[in-house]
Amino acid sequence: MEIREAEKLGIEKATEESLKIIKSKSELNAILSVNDKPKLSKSGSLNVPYICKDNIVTKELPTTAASKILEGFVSPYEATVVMKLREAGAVMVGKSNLDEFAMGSSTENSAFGPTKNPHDPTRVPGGSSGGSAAAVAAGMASFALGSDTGGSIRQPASFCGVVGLMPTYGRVSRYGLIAMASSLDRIGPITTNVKDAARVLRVIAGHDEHDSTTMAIEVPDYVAALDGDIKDLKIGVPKGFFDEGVDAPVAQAVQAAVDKLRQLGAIVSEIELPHAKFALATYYILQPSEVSANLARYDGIRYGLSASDAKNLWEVYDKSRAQGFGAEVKRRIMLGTYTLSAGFRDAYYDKAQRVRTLIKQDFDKAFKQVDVIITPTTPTVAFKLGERAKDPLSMYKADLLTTPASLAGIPVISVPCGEVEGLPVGLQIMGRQFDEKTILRVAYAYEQKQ
Amino acid sequence: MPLPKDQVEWVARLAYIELTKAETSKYAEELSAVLGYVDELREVDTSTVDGNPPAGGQITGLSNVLAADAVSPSEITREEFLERAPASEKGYIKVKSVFKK
Repeated sequence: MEIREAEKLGIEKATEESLKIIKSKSELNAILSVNDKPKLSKSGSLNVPYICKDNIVTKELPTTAASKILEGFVSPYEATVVMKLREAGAVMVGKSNLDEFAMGSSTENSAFGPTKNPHDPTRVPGGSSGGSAAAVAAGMASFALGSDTGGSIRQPASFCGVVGLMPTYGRVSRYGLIAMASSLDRIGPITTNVKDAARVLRVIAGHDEHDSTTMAIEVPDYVAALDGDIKDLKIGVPKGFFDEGVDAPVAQAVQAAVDKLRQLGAIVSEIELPHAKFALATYYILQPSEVSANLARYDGIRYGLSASDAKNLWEVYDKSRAQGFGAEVKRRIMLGTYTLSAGFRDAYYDKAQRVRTLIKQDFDKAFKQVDVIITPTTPTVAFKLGERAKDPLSMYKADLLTTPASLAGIPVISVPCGEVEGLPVGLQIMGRQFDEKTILRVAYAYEQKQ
Repeated sequence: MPLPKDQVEWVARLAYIELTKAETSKYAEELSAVLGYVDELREVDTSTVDGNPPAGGQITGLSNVLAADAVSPSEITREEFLERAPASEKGYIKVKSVFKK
């Protein structure tokens, strides 16, 4: 349901329709809690129903992060983005499923069961914002909020054939986003089209005193920026993002999209990002390290699950965390504890931070020559449920093409660009820091051409 | 090289996660596979990157964002905090004893 469609229906009917579809498509398991009787506001710039990823805290519905350790938890405060959306008239109709604490690339790591891909229910919707992407693809709301740390908005958007926008690090407040890897976590919209992504970003972006990493800079009118041609715009196509580990039909679909942009007047050239091939390894050191620190707060003392069989204080910690966390979360906490531990920190964490800087410098250099960089969003189309669940490393490799931009802090949009064997392929458009306008304009030009 | 089981037990202890024997073996294998993969970073020349520790995470260049050193009332009440705690008594969160009597 496009935002424009929902606006035509009016908020009452649109919300009714949303709730009806959430119910009729419950077998997708995209939604963890439903707001049956939401308070409807009658005005605002974004007066439509939406769905919020369940790792963003809300007062009117529980926030679980799809973890047993937070089952039934209702936050005493709400996230800045949720507050901004309400003030703009948006109505939250539900909270969406995710990989536990946003760790995963398939939504199979949810403590409340996997979400299924609306295009083929035997396949994963991607992750970690799989519930949000599936919900938007299935028409359950006009848009959804997701969070992206290593690909968690873009990869599910790609797998479900919808638009996913990861804004620049520092553009949107994370106050109220359950912290996972704080130097990487971002909130962004998942929508059915590019213009809707621009509209949602306009509402949620901006400086927030509750998130000291947000930048006190102007939020442009993203919708106005969509118009305008892309003649003479410079597109960089990086070597290495189309071959090793990338399925040939996916690479071809993206190549065809690049050709279309060339026909619209863009100038395409090959560029080099020499350190990008190390992004995945860098990510899987830095991300678990930050996870191990951020998830130390779940101690069975102040809120959430507390083990009933603990005999002393130490057992409260040990057992609550053992019983409350799922396998992937434990794996990453231990991995990060190891890479930060005395004697290993220099070799892993500090080394990865240095490589992160080199990756960022590669992008800085590239953006002196080109305006945007285009690659496939994911190496494959949506894989089968269960196919990678047994092998963590093969699951991590789903993030191969999305982690470079995560580490570099730059904005990225993924837009649908055709299908391979009936399954959607995503076009990943990366831009300069805080230049969401240009990636939106390119994405919009491509979408209109289709 | 697989991670020895005693290392996995040591990490689990640091992370406060109780593991079963079966989990210890499973994680020894899985953590080894990931550590083996991320080891490829050793070959990257990072001699041009200054800073100790390196500031790789400060990706927008921001540093030292300061807030006024002023007290302001909490938007969340004491009751709202306490009702979420697994156990409380007399306005405090209750925990198991740390010292034996």
